[in-house]
Amino acid sequence: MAVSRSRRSIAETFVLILLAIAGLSAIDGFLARRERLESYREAAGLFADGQRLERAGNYSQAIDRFRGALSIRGEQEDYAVALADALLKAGRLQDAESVLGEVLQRDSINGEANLMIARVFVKQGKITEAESYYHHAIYDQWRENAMRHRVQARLELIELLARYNKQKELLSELLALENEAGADVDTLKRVAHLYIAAGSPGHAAEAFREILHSEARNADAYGGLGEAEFISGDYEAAQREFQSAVRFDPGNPQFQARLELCRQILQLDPTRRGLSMHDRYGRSVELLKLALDNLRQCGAAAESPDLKDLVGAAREQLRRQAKPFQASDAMETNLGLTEKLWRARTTECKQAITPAEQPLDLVLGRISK
Amino acid sequence: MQRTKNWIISFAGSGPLMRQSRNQLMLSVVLGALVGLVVVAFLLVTGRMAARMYPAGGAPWRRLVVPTLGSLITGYLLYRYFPLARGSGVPQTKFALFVEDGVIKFRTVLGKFFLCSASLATGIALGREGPSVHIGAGLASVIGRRLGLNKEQVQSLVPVGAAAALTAAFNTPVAAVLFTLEEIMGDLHAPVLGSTVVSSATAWIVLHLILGDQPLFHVAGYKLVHPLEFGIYGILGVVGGLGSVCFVKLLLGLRERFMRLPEWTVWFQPVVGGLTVGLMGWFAPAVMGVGYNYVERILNGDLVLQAVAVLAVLKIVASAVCYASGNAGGIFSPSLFIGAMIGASVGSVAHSLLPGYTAEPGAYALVGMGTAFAGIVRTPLTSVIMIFEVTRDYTIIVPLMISNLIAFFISYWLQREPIYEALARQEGVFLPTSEPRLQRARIRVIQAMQPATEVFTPQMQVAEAADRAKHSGLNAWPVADQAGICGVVGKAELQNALTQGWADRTLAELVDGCIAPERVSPAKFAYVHADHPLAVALERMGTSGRNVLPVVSRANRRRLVGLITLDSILKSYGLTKALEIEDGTQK
Repeated sequence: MAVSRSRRSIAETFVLILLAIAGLSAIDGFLARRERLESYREAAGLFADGQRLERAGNYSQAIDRFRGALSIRGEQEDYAVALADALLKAGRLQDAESVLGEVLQRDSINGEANLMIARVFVKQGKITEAESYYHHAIYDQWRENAMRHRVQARLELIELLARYNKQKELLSELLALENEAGADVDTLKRVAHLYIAAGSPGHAAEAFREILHSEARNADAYGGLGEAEFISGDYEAAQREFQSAVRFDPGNPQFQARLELCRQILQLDPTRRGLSMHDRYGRSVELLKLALDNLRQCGAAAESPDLKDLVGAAREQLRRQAKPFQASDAMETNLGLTEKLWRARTTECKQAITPAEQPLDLVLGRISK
Repeated sequence: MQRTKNWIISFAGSGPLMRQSRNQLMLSVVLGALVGLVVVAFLLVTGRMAARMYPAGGAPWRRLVVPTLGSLITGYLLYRYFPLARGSGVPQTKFALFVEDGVIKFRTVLGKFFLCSASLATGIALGREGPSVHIGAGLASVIGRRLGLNKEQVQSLVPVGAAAALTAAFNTPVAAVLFTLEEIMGDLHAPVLGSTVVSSATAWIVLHLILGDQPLFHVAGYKLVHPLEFGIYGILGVVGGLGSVCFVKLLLGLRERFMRLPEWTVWFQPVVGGLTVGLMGWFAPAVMGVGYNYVERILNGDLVLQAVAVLAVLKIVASAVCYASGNAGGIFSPSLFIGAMIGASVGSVAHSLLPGYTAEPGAYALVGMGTAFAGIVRTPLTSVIMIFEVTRDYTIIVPLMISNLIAFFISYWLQREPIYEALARQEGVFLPTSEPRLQRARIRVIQAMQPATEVFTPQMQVAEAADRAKHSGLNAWPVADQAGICGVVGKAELQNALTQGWADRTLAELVDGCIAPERVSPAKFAYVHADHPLAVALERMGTSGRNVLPVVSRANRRRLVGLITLDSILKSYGLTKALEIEDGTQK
């Protein structure tokens, strides 16, 4: 009897325990879900607060909020990246690098983290590392608006390469970006200007023409195209494009100035097509006079005996009036002396080339090519 | 079908010993699950209530009023209805285990659960792990008694429940088992090892099913930057050790003062703790409650040197006052918090002076946690494993070990009595410590044994042996031939043989193991080895009824290396002289 009572008591106890386990499992499950929900909400609140403070420029408080959010949800990479961004803006580069390093350890293909750490390295002056992480950012995963972010990352990389004068790398990135830009006019415009900075006016001209296909009245595109032609040395084409730019944006002083410069160059250039030999000779005399005046103005004429001889020869040439059958030779002599005088001016004279001297400089540059 | 059933029964075992092991295993699993679920509920309820009581960014007056009122209410309830639910829970668990035969009442478990939860939720600067241990141990005790288990079985269930609780509270299954053996049982070789491992594993599974697989703290993977850092971690060990001693001495000193106050003040003494926390919390909310959010931030480098140094001091004071004034809560969490702040302070200074040679201050905060824990709780092995488990960062383990050890020794040197024993002593209870056990283990057989001068041979006749025995002070003698010892013969056996008329028979016929060399089995007689503690020799003397045991070689148990007698054991303990004096007086 006592044994069966004991067995019943044991059985009852086990049943109670199992019921307790079942009940507690349900309660704990409910509590855990509530806990998760509330803590996620709290973390999200702190995160939103942090973003608001960051936008207002209050970085230290923003950092505090982001850290609070991360302490609740340490696995959230968004929070870590936002924290790194705030640290970066607050100038705490080492801390930002540390936070991002952790994120990348867990998820090395996080595009946002790679972009952020590239920016950190740029600020730290670690350009090689920055380039590497920009490439990661361009080719790694982005959760949303991937194309836009990749373009943004590439643009930042391009600006970095332009700043550090890495022409070859810059050009290859620009070619890739042009492909990705598609029909986006703003990006194409940026790309085209960057082609100019990269020393590739031909690509720049193509890009501006691409823009003009879809926006035929885009003054900036005309201006950019004019600039590309100008750099290429095709001043007639540059003049045409600047004229179009002025037509669509008459108030732009830059376009006006470039147009005037083109006009001056074309007025001075003795090698233009369609000119008579007389006109060419006349222009060569004009160039020689300008070169002599510039040299005299800078005061370098009295410096060395060679220079004195050169100046003397130039004056002698100007005094002579060439006969029509001598015009070609005389023109060649004038141009030769002009080049020598201009070389002397650029080497002997301590002053930089003034805007007034620019047309002469560019014409002589074109002639020497 | 019957054959299959028989096979299953024979495989599962049906003997009483097998049944007992199976029952114990099953009970450990069930307890692990139940305790795990209860402790998870405790953690979740406490956390959510705390978030509502004093939310982050809330009004400062709440941080003053809530802990004060909370401690007033819990203080009264503890005094009136649940007096045994007061305090950390670990000394109370040890008290129940060693003094109360493992009895912890269900009322105490309920009181601990709800009042600790309320206390911590209102911002009292204590921890939740100690109370979890008490709750888990209590549940194990209640269930064991309800199942009608005997006293020893109920006692053996207490550490099983404790280990499961600590696993669920900290998500540290290995450290939980180690702590249970190292601190609660005081013996790393306790027989309950298997059961605690099983219950701990079950509680871990339950925790992961409900809360997922996340460590307690998410930290960056810190590494040693330069060997010079070992020196700095050594300094951290010293500072951490001193900080630990400050905390322990302050807590014990204040506790003593509170205990001297009149009995009628007991119910509102906790308000002192609540008010202290409230006043500190007005300016420094990080001091309130468990504080793990702030610890995580410190571990990840969010710190200002002055702030962490001040927080370390404030937390030492707040936790000491809260505990000493009688609030319900433990000291694990404060230890980790204090350690993290101390570590961060040392790390900040080191990193600012030697930035190229030191890791980030977060690494030092991580090591600091273990350092303070080792210094306060005095469980060095547990603290190393625990820090690894709560952070899952193994790379910093060697500096952690060094720092922990230094803190442990400093704490031992300046505060000889461990905190849990000291707290129990203040209550008038003297808990067993590991010292006597260690002391007993220090004296070994080799220090007390003597050469084997009185050895009989198997060919010796019974009459001759009995004659020699008359003049000997021993009551048993080894019997050995050229190959070695084959048995032991006692005085009583010789007398018996003489009575039966076997005077001319040889000892080989009398002693079981000496009949034929191939049948010699050392297992047939009691013996010891030279490296055995004396306690083992005493135990075997008691079991065999002999006052002398042969000491045999471990490499060859037939090789006799000496004898150990009861007299020589007593002499090793310094007792023979005392007995002689007593005998002389009596005469």
